[in-house]
Amino acid sequence: MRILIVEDQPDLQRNMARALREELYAVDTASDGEEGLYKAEAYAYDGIILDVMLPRLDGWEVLQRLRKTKSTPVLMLTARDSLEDRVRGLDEGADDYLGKPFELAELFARLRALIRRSAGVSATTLDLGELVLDMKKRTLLRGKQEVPVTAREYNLIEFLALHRGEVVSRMRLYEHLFDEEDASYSNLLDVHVSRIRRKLGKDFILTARGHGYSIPGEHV
Amino acid sequence: MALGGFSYALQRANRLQAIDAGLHSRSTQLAGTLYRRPLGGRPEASPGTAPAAIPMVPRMAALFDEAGPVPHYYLVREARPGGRLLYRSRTAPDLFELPPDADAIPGEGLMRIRGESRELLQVNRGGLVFLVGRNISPELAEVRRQAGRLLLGGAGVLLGGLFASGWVARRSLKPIADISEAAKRIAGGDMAERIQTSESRTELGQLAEVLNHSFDELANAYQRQSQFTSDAAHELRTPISILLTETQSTLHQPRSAEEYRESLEVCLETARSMRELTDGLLAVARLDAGMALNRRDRVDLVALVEACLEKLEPKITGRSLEVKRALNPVVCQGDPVQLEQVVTNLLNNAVSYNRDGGELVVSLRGEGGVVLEVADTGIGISAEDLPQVFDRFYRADKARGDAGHSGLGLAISRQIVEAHGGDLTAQSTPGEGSVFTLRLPLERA
Repeated sequence: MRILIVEDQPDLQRNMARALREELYAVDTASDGEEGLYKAEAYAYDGIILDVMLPRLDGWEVLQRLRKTKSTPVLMLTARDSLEDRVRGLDEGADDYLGKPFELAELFARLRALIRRSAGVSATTLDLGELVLDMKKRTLLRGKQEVPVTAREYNLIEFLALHRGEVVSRMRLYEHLFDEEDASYSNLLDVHVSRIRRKLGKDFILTARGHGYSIPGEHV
Repeated sequence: MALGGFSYALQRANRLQAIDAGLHSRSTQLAGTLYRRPLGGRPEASPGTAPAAIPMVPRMAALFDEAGPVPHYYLVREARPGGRLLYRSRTAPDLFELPPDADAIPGEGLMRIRGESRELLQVNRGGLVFLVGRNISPELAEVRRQAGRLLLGGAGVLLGGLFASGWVARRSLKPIADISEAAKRIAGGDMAERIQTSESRTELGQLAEVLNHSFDELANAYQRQSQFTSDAAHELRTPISILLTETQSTLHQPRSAEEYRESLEVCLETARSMRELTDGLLAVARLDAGMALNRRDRVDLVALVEACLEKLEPKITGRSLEVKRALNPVVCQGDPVQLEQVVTNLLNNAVSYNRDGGELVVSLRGEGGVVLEVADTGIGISAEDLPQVFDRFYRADKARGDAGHSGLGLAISRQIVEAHGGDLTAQSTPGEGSVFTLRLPLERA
């Protein structure tokens, strides 16, 4: 899952980004409204954390313009936690609204809910045959045993699982699993896919030649 | 009412007089007639003896207009106790009571009221008692009616007067009642209430206007205060958010010693900025409460400026700024600590909002009054922002999440300067720079 954080306060931005990366998200950041809008329109994010008070272009503007072309889930953050702001935020197209100061745990939970909702999934766990994907804990379980997977591997599995039954193009996978910080070549998709197959079975992920990958099954 | 009562009495007396006069005259006539017309043609009895009977011929009856417009009745009997009733007119009542002692009847006659009739009794020398009576119930009734009317009228006037005066009094007191009602409501917290007044020309109307004006002032002050409190709380949210996220994200998983250290330093810096914010808030609150300047010393402004510049030295060189001075010796009166705060604030801003490699010009003059100018070659302030630059919590870069600047610096500075009897103004050309001008009187009044 790839998230965009648009927040001008450097300490807050840094902390949210770090925490989310540690939660196995791919994270991009922007420090003002213009940069935020640009990135939000250019890349495919699974969720955007958008502060209201931003330099150059405020959060309302960014949201309005973004909504013309994209329906990416947006969680708005604000230090002005009045009722009018909340209502306005939700009415103008934000999917959720969180006032500062907030608890990180709440931020994560709301973000997860947003992503789940936009994938059309309501449960927090996904059944994949003998494996279960726990999206709350962000782990893969075989029975009661946790299956060790790397961050990248988890992300890949989660994305494919949320779109199970669907063939997801490599392009899309690239977009959703890697952020700007990824400079290394470890973002070679195929490497990850084969590693996963080695761990979980050849048919865990199916290849549709020329089209992409998928996890077989009924889309929930 | 008094008038009514008086007029009633007068009328009654008049009527009675008329009635009595009528009674008297008839009685006299009756006596005269009887003596001139002896009975049955017999020779007149000698005075002193009563005739045997007195037939009344119709003609005589007519004389006494029994059936006339004012019917009287007549009775004649022998004066001695147990004497015979000699004559009784048609309408006379049955009873003819003599007062027990006929001698008690005085010469001019006895006037009495019996039931609804007024009667006159007279005794003549012939030993006869004449009674002339008249039913005065109609008269009585009418007088009573009149009295009633007068009474009612009087009462009506009284009540009317009471009501009218009550109404007039209430009307003239109404504005006062309104004012006190409105004041009560406003004191109770309804800040939007005002006194309704349409007549601004009367004294009360003017009072209402003055009060309304005061209420406006009060409401404004109230609003400013609650606005300030909410702004202050709001401002604190940013550093609190930083602390929360910093600590939570650091604690999220095990970290290296270096990472913990860095995180703690961020927390420390944030705590310091919160302190600066709360210090600023307290200063503003104190200045708001009108707490007078603490001290009134002689302040050497040149020394003050130089001291501040020295403190800012690292920042100045860090941004490669060139400092130009034109400082004339000036001494003024005031609170050294507070004035230092102002000068530091101005110089600090000039450094912070400057561009790298830019200029900082400080000039100080003393003729006529103290004029301190601080000019920078920074980003400047736009025309819309300029008037608001001294507002509390106002930041040039509105969305600056930098918790280091409380946005109170200029607001406090201006308050201090004004408390010293001076003023603080700003001019700016966006893109080129800004000039802040501080003016103080040399000698405080």
